Amino acid sequence: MKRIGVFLCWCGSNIGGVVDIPKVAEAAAKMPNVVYVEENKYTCSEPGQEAIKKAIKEHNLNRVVVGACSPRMHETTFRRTVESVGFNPYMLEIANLREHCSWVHAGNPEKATVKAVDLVRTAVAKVGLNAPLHRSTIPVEKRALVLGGGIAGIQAALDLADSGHDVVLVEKEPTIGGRMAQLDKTFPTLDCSACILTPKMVDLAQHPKITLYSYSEVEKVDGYVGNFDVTIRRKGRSVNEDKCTGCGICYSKCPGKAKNEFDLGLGDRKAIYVPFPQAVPNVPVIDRDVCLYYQKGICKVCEKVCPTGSIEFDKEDELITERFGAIVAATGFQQFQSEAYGEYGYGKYKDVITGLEFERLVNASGPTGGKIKRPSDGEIPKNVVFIKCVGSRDEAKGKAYCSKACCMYTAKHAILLDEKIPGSQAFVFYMDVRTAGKDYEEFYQRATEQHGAQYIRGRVARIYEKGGKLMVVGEDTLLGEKVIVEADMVVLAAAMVARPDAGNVARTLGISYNQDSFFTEAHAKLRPVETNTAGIFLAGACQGPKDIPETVAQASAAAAKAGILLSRDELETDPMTIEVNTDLCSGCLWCKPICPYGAIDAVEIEERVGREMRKRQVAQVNASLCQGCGACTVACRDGAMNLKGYTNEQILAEVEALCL
Amino acid sequence: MTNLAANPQVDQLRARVKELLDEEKIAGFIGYERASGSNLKRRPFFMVGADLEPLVLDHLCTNGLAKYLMDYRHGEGRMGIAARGCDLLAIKRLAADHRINRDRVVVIGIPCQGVMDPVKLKAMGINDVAETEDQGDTFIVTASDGETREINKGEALLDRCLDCGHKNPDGHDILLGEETDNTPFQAREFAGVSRIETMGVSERYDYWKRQMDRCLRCYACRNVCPACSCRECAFDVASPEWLGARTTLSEQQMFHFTRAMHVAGRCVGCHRCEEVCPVDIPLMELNEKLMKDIEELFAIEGAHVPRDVEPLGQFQMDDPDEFN
Amino acid sequence: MSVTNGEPETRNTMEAAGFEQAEAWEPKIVGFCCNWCSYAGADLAGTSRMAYPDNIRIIRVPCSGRVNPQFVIRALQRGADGVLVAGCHPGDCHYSTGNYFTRRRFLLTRRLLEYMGIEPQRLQARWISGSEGEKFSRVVREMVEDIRTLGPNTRLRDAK
Repeated sequence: MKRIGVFLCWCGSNIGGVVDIPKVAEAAAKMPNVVYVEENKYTCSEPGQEAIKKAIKEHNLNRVVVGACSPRMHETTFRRTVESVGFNPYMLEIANLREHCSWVHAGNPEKATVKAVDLVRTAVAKVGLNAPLHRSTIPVEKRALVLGGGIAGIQAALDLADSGHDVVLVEKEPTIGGRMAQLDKTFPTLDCSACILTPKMVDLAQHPKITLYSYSEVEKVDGYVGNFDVTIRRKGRSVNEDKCTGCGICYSKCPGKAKNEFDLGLGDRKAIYVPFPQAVPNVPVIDRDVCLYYQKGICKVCEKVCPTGSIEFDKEDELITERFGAIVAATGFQQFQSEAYGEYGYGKYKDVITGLEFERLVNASGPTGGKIKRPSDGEIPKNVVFIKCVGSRDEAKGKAYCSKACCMYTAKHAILLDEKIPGSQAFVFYMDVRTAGKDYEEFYQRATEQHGAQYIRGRVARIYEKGGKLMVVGEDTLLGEKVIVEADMVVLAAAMVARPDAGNVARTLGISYNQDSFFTEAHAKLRPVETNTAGIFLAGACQGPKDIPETVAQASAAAAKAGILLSRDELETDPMTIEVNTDLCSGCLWCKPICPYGAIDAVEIEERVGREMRKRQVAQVNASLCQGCGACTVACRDGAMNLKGYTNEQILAEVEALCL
Repeated sequence: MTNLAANPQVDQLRARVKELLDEEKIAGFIGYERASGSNLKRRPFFMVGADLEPLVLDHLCTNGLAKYLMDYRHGEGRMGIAARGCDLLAIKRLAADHRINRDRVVVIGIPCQGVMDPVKLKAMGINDVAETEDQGDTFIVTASDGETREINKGEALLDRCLDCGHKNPDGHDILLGEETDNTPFQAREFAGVSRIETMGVSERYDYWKRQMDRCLRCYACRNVCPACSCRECAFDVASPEWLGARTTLSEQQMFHFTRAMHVAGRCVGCHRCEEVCPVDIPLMELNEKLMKDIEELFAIEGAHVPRDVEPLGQFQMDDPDEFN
Repeated sequence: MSVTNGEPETRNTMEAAGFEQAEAWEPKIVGFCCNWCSYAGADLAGTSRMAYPDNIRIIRVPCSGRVNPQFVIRALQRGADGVLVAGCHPGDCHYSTGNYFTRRRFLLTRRLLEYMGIEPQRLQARWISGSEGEKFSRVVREMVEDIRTLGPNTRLRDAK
């Protein structure tokens, strides 16, 4: 038996001064299933709330309608009120008699009263079809997974660990450090990148709450927020991390040779190697494609000379599965493949290099010991041309977006060039100079005023070789003239782009990514480090091009957000989620592509039909992932999908009640 | 009585079906047989036992057979079926909706250059057709007494064949005969839809009122439609009551509007709904309106072809926007 | 459809409560507003005391994507002269993509209704954000006038 109580609020004179509350009460008393009507001056006040509680008990109410201000104002308040006397908080509906009635129809009290009655009748019709709903909880595994060991991942991991949570950091390369380890000096302060990065790398390695899985990749992510089951592949390093002391004898004796990826191929390494001297962990890895033992079954010099017996040729990949409550994706970026600009001759002329390659030349631990030398003949260059916007701001050949950091790092390169090679001249071909950060504009002015960098506004048409020099043909649009620079070296400010496997990573995690393969944030302004997948957060350049200060800020933000999640023992789930009526469900699964949260899956059920047991496919909704938007209900033609709290029956009843 | 076994196409069909049965690749077959009491109609045929004698195949075999596959979803063995291009689209539709398992169906595909409309034949005074033959621009129909007549294809074709671009049964398992030229007889132009679009709003209302008033709510259109395969149709569900039982005009309008929206983007253009309607409601004028809009608004080619994600299950950021 | 034990509720209850039957016809508009944007926009119109005609009654839904075209037909069948469907601007949907589906679906719905002879201005679809109180009140005012010009909806009405 439905027993509805209607509580009408005067809200002082906010409602009562326009709407004839006594008349509304009279009409309400005659509405179907209404057994009790009361007026209050301020229903949200303590006496008002007490009146509701009293009436529920005295009149044995099982549904409540409050005609008052907007539900966005006090729905939570009144739900708590009724819940405190053991009444199911979802058996309550609110009629908006203030924001949608008295406050906007103040000039017409009669009509406002008629509308108020309509709104109350609608709420009464809806609440008649409410069913008790119960919040459930899911446990939260208090461990965080950080994917990527660049500065973003390192910062996020440190912040999470410092706030008391256990963290696992998975890094694909044999060492952490990412792109920042490849940089020489960082703008705008020109402090040495390795000097500010390596202490953090060491902190991470030594942190009691952080477990580092280097040379490892995430293969599979199952589960959902609070309970992600992640399968991690720990690749076969061939060197035992626990025994190795990092003495380096093995790679000093190794006869194998390959191009050093860390130096972007500008220098060499051995078959057993550490990518750079400050690597963390400082444990070498064997490149099985080059190592003579793996290729031909001979050599094994490293094993012979290793003082601790750390070489394990037979160690294969290992798959482990661990559970995490939250995941932070910090997988970083790479540089744009500049071969796309055939006219610049990248890949054709050895002395046309990218910005990151230039960093390696400048860096003291790089292939040239920090001396800027032409890759072709090792000569010291005098004229160096820097070309900005290579692969960015170019929909035709590259990416449409602005790569954010290139203007600053080109200015930095111009400064470093002048510092390292006195008498050198930097020419920078630019479309714009974007220096939006703190001290950035001043830094750029230094490059031009104190270091003599010459900025030419215009694009480069082509580069050709002549007499051992690179002829850079461009345009100076401010002078309206063609310009030819006889350069010794050309540096392309190649754009920051997503890594080629970014799409795969996103799909493994179950997060969205855009047409440029950058991971998508939940809301561009208000939720920049969350994704639409509950429990997965973003940090760093994998979300979009950015510089180091922004990356670190975002990493700490992601750690804070993940920390909020992990600080709970349990997560309460909103009960207004989808309910699937499997009797009606045909298993067409056309609801599935509608859900932005991936909450819908096909599942096989077994049922008895006559004497047979039959299997069929139906839709299943993960209530922890479902956010209750109801968009899938419209794709479901026969109404098998229904949204609790906003069921088809309820909405149709509201329409009926309104249209009388 | 002409010996139907002399018809080469039906011979081939019977032989293939027998092969499949003998090799136990299928447990049964759905095809066509002659209708009793009328030599102008054919009807669906469900093989019983191993008797293939009633099986026929000619240009009056027009029923949609695909939906019957739903009756054979559960059971041992696979089901064979004869299907022209339109029926194959229907089979793909049912499979895409997970209402049948395509792996449990063996399709003998039949290349087709159009089939005949019995209503049009009757109007020409033809009431008895024992055999049919496709001569390219004409059909030759032979009565049971052996008398033959040659008729213009353009005058005899079913409306649905006029702009068909699926003359070859794409997606078949076995092809009966050879592939045929896929050039449609007419361009796909949605002429009926355009005609109604030129009417004023009130004229359109009157037009559809006249059509809807006739509706008996027999649900034949829904029952024959391959896109309508819900376990329990929205119109049969007790709660919520999407549609009342009364046959008032507004309920008919709700029914047809809703069904059109439910099959929007999923209609395969087989025309069977219109063909089975006992009161000749031009239902394709509704379905084709949605097809035309989907193709124009969302830059989708061939809205009637089943695809992995249907048009209303996806969106583009630059979809046309009339909200403002 | 009945909301009680089988007796459809009628305006008799209103009369019993002392309301007189309205003499002049007034447009009756049913609005479906999404909780996060358009409903909030309507709330803001209220907080800012922006007056608009009382002809509209709002039904709250979590997302404009929840609005089934069949609700619109039902509203027109049962007495509405116009229906407003309001949601978040594309890209701002609280549920990320709901309104993109609304957009596609209602593009087709409006065209189909118009094709079947229902005046297109009777179904209006608008994007109204939580900060657009002024827009909400303006939309209502304009729609009421549009419907007043069209007159009462006699189509899709049950024959009674």
